Amino acid sequence: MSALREKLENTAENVFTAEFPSIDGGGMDAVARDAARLAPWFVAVNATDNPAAHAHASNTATAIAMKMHGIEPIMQIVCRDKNRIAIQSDLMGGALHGIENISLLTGDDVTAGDEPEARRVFDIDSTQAINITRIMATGKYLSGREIKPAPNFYIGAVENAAAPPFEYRIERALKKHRAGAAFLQLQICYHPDRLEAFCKGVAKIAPNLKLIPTVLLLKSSKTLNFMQEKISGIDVPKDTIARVASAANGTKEAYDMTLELAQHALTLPGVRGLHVTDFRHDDSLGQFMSDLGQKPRN
Amino acid sequence: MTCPKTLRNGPCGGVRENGNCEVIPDMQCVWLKAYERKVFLPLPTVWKDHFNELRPPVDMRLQGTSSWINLVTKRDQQTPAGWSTTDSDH
Repeated sequence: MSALREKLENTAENVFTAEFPSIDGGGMDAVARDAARLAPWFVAVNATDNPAAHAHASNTATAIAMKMHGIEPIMQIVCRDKNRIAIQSDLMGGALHGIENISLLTGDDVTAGDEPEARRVFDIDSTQAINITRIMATGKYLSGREIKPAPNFYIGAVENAAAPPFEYRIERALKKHRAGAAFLQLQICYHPDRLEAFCKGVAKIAPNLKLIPTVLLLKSSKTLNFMQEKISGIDVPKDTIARVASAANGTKEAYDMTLELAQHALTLPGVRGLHVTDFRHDDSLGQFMSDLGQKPRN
Repeated sequence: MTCPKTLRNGPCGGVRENGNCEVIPDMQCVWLKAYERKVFLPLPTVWKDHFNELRPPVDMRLQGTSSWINLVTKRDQQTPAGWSTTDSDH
């Protein structure tokens, strides 16, 4: 059983996950450096699948490299670049290397990346991909062909609590849960009220679904402005940007603001931990985890 | 089906603050439009509940064929042999 599944299903502890930096060279030395930085704090770390439609080392290769360096991967699979055959192949390839944690996403559109002229695939959508992963864990491919023994998957997905239509996001979470998702990592959210409404709503209709909101460690209001302007589905309120931009010490203000969002998120029903994304790349990660009451793992 | 990502099970996480599409910023998200109609139109609950049904992967062999004929012949209800949903399991 993966440590992520063990912690989420058999304990009441908060679980912290992170994002493994994309690999574009640097070889295993780079993997080792990032693994050493993340290992003390996180139960499992996402191996991303060409995030924001930019090509990098593949999800499966990254997940295997992480595992070799002692980090439990959550292998992401997005629907943008692969059809149903390739997605099932990713899943079996991961299973071959003992990868259990899977997170299935629709994925950003190709227009979000640096090759917007590429063909978008989207042969299946994220909810169908979740259901297919659940079917494979029962011992068969989508075609019905047998897989023996059945692979062991702990299935997750993502949801954006702060994108319209807000009320429907709760039903969509239930739909993903019924398809097979045991946990949801949530998109970064700068509207605590929307996150709260979402978590309360999900806790009511899907009490076993584990919610893991995302927080982002950032250095200045520049990152907030970038997200507001460039990332579809993330809205950063003017007041939030102004708070960081007008502060005498913007870096500290950005840190404090993120800590407040994190502490609020952890109080919400259904929330079982946090997904921490680090855009600061300084020593604040350790401080942040300590401020959330976490001690480094062995 | 005007969703540029050809999604079949609801809107993606990229819907903009104004309700428009991630891919085509001038167009309203078609899933948002469908959801709002589902909520506001006085339809029977049994119809409204269809919105949350898990729709199976599309059979790409049907591209370019008549959806009406496929509806009448129930060809469009055929799913891959391994496909099942938790609802139909019990």
